[in-house]
Amino acid sequence: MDVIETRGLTKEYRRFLSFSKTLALDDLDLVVSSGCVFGFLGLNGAGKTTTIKLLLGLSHPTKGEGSVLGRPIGDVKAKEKIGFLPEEAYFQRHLTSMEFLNFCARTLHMEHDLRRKRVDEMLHLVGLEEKAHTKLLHFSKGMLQRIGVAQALLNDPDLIIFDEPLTGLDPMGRAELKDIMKKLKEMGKTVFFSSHILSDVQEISDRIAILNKGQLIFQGSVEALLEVDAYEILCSEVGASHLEPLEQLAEGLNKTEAGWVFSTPSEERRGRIVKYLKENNLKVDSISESYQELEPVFLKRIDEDNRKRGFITEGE
Amino acid sequence: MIGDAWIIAGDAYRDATRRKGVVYTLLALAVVQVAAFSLYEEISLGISGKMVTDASLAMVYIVGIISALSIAFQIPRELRERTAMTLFAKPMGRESYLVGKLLGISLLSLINMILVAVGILIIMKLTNEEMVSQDFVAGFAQSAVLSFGAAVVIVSVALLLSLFLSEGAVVIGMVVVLLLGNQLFSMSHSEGGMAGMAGAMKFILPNLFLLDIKTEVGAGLKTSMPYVLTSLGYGISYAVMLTGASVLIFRKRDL
Repeated sequence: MDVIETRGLTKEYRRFLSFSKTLALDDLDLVVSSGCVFGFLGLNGAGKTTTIKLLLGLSHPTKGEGSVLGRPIGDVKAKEKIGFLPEEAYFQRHLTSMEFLNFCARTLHMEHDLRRKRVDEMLHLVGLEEKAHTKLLHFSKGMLQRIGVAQALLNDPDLIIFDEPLTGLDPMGRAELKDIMKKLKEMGKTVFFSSHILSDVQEISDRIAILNKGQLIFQGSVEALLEVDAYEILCSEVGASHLEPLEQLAEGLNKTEAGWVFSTPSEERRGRIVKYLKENNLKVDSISESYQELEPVFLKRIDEDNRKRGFITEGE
Repeated sequence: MIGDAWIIAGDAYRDATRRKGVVYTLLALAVVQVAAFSLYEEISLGISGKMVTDASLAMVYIVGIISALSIAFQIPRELRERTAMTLFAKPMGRESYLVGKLLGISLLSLINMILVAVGILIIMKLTNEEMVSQDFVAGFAQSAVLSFGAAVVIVSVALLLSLFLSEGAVVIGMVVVLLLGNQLFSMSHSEGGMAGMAGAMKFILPNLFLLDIKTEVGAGLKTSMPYVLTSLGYGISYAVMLTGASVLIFRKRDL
């Protein structure tokens, strides 16, 4: 089932007292299926937050349509099963964290007993039990981000939308948030998040989309975007006599605790190594693939798109 | 929708009561009023009763307006700091948000005005018992009720302005509307082009003159109950219509 689906979603902003328009999002066709962690990438001003606002009904599309959890975008009923963490933690600072979560729970129409239970659970989840009676005014950025995660998960949502959740967090905070996102996926939830931190996106996303200057330039699995950097063949028992011929076939040869690892970037050479091992009755324990880093591929795609659309001319 | 509006109303009320600026201003006004009671006898040239009544009713009115002003500091800030984004990502309609703000701040005005009115009447009773007759209390209450009507109108005006302007600009806008609203009646009865313009404007701007019987009460004149109810009805109807217009505008707005 598709949790998010958009068709031709377009958003133009008109400047105040001006006839000129800014095209923030151009004909977006996006599909996010249930149960995946979906990374939404793009440089500043690419249209990520605009897309999220449209999905949540915070802005109105100029053209196009879409659905979230099977209902038209912006539908109030659908929001009962959506959790949202905004880019910056903008919350009611005059409230304590417990009051804030209670307030959010009431806006989610939760019954009194369930509300108390969920508020306690969420404070525990984000490690803010001791700050339950502290006003948000006195919270650090990291603590605000955590209370933001708590309010986003209060209603046990089916779809969680995080806008730049990893930005501004320290390494510990990032690791904790990534763990929460992985746990949500294990629970069958769909996580849709935008981010600049490409290493984290690569680590936790099943599928990604890349947006550049309002247009979608890639959508698919991480593996589909990245080329294989190397194939690694693990073989626990290799006699010394075989090492020399294998060394000639593989680019890399490494002795680990588990056995010998032969690595090559070539698919053809991978086949020849496996063939050699089988012909010599040597057991292949595993064959794995390591992929390119996302960042250079992402930047290359953005650069190619900019050239194609004339934003960068030859020689620049 | 009403359930959601009450959730917002509760938050708006709590936000306003936790703002030290509003609380300290109201406390300062109370202190000034209590201190002034002792001076009226000396400076009033024998009309201290009228002066005390005028000043007391003006105090109730000012407290209501200052309480109403707190809305000017909530909505623009929540839109600018994008607190409202988190809220509207929840199953909360925009109309509930605006109606909730109107209810919460109107309730704040009402409670503050009741506290001040009751406090003043107690002090008057203690200092000048014969002045506080049954008729005087009735007139005082009627004026306070109409001041509450004016406060509700001011809240609705601020609500509309808050959708476009920053905090400071909303306050200035409210003061302008307040001044024009109070002058509209006398302007429309003057002669020349001003009268025509005022006549047209009174269908758009709130006519706060209708909600002001402080002078009559101060002079010991009685105001009929139908007039009070009709004027209060006008104030509430005006606030409802203006809030309706605000809802229509806010529904179309991008956050």
